[in-house]
Amino acid sequence: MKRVTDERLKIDMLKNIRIVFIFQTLGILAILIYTGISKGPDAAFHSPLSLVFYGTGVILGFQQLRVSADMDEMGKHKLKKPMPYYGLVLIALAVGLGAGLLTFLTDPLHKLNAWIIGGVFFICFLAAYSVGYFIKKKRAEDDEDE
Amino acid sequence: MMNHVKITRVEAGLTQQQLAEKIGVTRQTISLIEKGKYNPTLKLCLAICYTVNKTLDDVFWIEKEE
Repeated sequence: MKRVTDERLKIDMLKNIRIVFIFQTLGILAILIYTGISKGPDAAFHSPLSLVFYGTGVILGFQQLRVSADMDEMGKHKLKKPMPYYGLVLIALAVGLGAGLLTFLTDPLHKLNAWIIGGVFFICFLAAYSVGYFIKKKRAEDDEDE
Repeated sequence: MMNHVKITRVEAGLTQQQLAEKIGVTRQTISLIEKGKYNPTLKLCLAICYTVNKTLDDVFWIEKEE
C-alpha cells in the first residue's frame, strides 16, 4: 500500500479511525457487560478484554494531558509558583505513612502488609505528583522562552 | 474559503495533476482547494506558493467581508 502524504486524506483517515475506535469500544463494553450478566461480574473483571479497556483509558488519559484546558492560568499570564519537589515528596511520604499506619492499626499481626500498602501508596502518589510537577516545570520554562 | 489557486496555477501553466504531484498531494485535494471546499494547512499553502512562484498574498489573500 502506498504511503499517504496528502494532508486532507490523513485527516479523513484519522476521522475514520475515530469511528472505528468508537465501534471497538462499544463492542468491548458489550462483551464485558454480556460476560458480567452471564458469568458473573468476577469473570468480567478478570477477562483480558477489561485489561485492554482499562489500558486504553489510561493511554487516552495520558495523551489528553497535553490537550486539556489550562488550569494554571491566573489572571494576566501570571503563573502560580509551583511547589518545590521535596514538598511533593513529603506529601507522598505522609500519605504513605498514613495508609501504612491505618493498615497496621486494623491488622497489627501482619506488619509486612502495612509496609507494602504504605509503600504502594507512597509510590503511586509520588508518581502522580511527579508527572504533574514536571509538566508544570516544563511549562514554566516554555513561558520563559516566550 | 475562496482563493486564487486556479488562476495562479493556470498562469504557471500547470494542470491540477502536475501541481498535485509536485507538492505531494492528490489531484482531488487541489480540486477541493480551488473550489474552496477544503481548508489547506499553512504548510500546504506555502508549498503551492513555492511551486507557482507567487507569494501567499497573491494566492490566498481575500479582502475582509464587511
